[in-house]
Amino acid sequence: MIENIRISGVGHLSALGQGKAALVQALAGGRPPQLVFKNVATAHGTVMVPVYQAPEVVLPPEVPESVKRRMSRISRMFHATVLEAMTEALGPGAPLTDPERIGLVVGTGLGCLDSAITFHRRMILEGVAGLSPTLFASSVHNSIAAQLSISCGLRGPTCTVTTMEKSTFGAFRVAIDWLGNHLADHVVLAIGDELVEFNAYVVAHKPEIPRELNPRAAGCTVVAGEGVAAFLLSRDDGQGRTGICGIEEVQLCPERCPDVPRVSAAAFGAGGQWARYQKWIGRPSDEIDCHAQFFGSFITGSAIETEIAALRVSRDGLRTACVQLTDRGEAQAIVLGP
Amino acid sequence: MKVSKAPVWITGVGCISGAGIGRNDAERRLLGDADSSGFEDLLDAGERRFFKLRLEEPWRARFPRFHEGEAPNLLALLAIEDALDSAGLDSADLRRLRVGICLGSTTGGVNYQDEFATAYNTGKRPAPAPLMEYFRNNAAQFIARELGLRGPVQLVNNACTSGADAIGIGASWLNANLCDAVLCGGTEIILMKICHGFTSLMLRSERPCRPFDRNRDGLTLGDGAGVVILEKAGSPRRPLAVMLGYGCGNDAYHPTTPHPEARGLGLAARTALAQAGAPPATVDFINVHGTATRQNDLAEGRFIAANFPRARVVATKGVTGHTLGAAGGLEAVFTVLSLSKGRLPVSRGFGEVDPEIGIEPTRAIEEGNYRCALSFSLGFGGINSVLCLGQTP
Repeated sequence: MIENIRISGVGHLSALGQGKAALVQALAGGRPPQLVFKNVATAHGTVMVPVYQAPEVVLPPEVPESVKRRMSRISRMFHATVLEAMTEALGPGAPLTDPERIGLVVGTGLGCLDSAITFHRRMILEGVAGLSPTLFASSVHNSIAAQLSISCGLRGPTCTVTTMEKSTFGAFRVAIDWLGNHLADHVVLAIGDELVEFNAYVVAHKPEIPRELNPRAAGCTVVAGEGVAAFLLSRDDGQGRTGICGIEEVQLCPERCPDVPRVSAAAFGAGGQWARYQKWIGRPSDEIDCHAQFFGSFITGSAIETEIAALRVSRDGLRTACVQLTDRGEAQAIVLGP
Repeated sequence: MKVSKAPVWITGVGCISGAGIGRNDAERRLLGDADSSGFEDLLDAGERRFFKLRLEEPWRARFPRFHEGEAPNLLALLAIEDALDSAGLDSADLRRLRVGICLGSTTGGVNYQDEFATAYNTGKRPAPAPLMEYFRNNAAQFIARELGLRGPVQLVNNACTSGADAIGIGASWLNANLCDAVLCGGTEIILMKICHGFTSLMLRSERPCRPFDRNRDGLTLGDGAGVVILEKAGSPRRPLAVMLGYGCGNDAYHPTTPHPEARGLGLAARTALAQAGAPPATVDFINVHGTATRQNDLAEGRFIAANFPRARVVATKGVTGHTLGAAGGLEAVFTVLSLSKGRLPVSRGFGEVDPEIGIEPTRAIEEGNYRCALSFSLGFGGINSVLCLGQTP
């Protein structure tokens, strides 16, 4: 049981829009997600593929143009959500009292793949003589964390976790261990992935292309998506319950589903997936929450499911667990409480 | 800052790099009395000018479907098998115990990209199957499946500190009782994209690197993997060394250049020493990051001169090249070997003291009773990590 570690702020970006308010509005039955269609060239002709695409982010004017210019799209996505989480937790524009005591953890499945593709393309097509060192630096997997630490002045421990769909839970675990071991007083935790051209390219080769994501359907309804969830985690030493909710457990390989009143499943529409979740969780379908239809299928979608679960705990006070099963049946879980 | 965490035992080490294939080979070449120059037979002195392990044939014999993208996974597997042998752990132990794996790599998971991306980027529209392999290609997950591990699985991508951070995370899993043992360290195969990237940054030397030398002119890249086995103190296996502390700090300064005053390294070292309950004066030697770039060695060397004037300095990249995400793991293995054998290796490539730095790494094998050592790692993104390791009590 983890004690005194709380989520004190969140930030959100997905096809639902930029900001926690967009997420809350959509969950209340408001704005639908932004589904767009991409024309993908394959060896067999052009195929139209639907995707859930996030809007281009708006960064605040305090971020210098020189910094914005160097950021890849995925860095901008992470940056916007992290600023929102920090603002909610620490107040707008609040100075960091001790930057060495603020850690940073980034979780991502594919990371800076888009920059890596671009770097590789230029290497192939234009030769090595004029390769951009800035682009190379942006293609290194931890460049998101690098940009965030520089522009936000975060000087504490830093880590980028890239264990495919396990990245969400591994990143949470690193953050709470740092807080529990007093390596940091706060940890900025940002988890997500961006749509890259390869996502739609893979879908374009499927015999049938789903038009709508339904995570509870028996067949495959995968529609590629993207998004970032950011959290500010804080150690709450004797200050009472502040912020959004508490973190009670982060389990990287639990043998059974946590015993809590509500369970959120990080299902994303893969064929047969929902039945596996039902079996492992041990409850009927209508007692399990799942929201992938709002933000699409992507490797770290469990981070947004966890964010939604946190908001739900904040609203109704019930303990909940966000659980994930990989396609090999390996489980991970985060237990949240008031 | 909380101090003096329970120490963790290092009960096994394994490695594969320009320093040798396996821990015994590395120990003989680095710490033995024989001339260590024999390592050149492992290296590719061809056009690409980086230390390249020639292992394709043995790999293909063992894994008939081997493809280049799996090379970091297999390199890690060889190092882990070496470490398991060193600890005396067998497959029955792996099934009985909760064993986790935490590996670091700068490119883990991106290793299948070159072949597919080359076709794709030249206008062909290849079948996407290699992409799915790429999506599933992750060294930690590969090893967990291969060995049937039951504990946590994680890959860390912290550029050149990845291997050290993986060891720090592994220790935290033991302290949180998530598992009984952890295989942790780093693995790296140098892709052409990486070579060209470092060339674009003008950081590569045209000859084997010369860490901390006055005339150093850049780094030499190298393949490698280095893994330690961590267990809680009191394990039935005999420890080779003790992990006393781990710290990490960020420069928040520049994407590819270290802070000139080693700001993040200072936090990382303070944290590791605080966890160990060891004052700086008790540090006997430091296995430095020592890439042989002008800026790294200047920042790191000045920091050492100012804060650890008594400690001996060991730079091993003149033997292994810079193995990027594997370096922290590999150098932790070398540090354990030095602590357990009471010998420090030659800092190959170093010749003349740089007066701007003022430190003098080892010129010959040195012997002593070394009780406490640090292993430094610095990486792109301003990240710095320090492991504090101690002699077995």
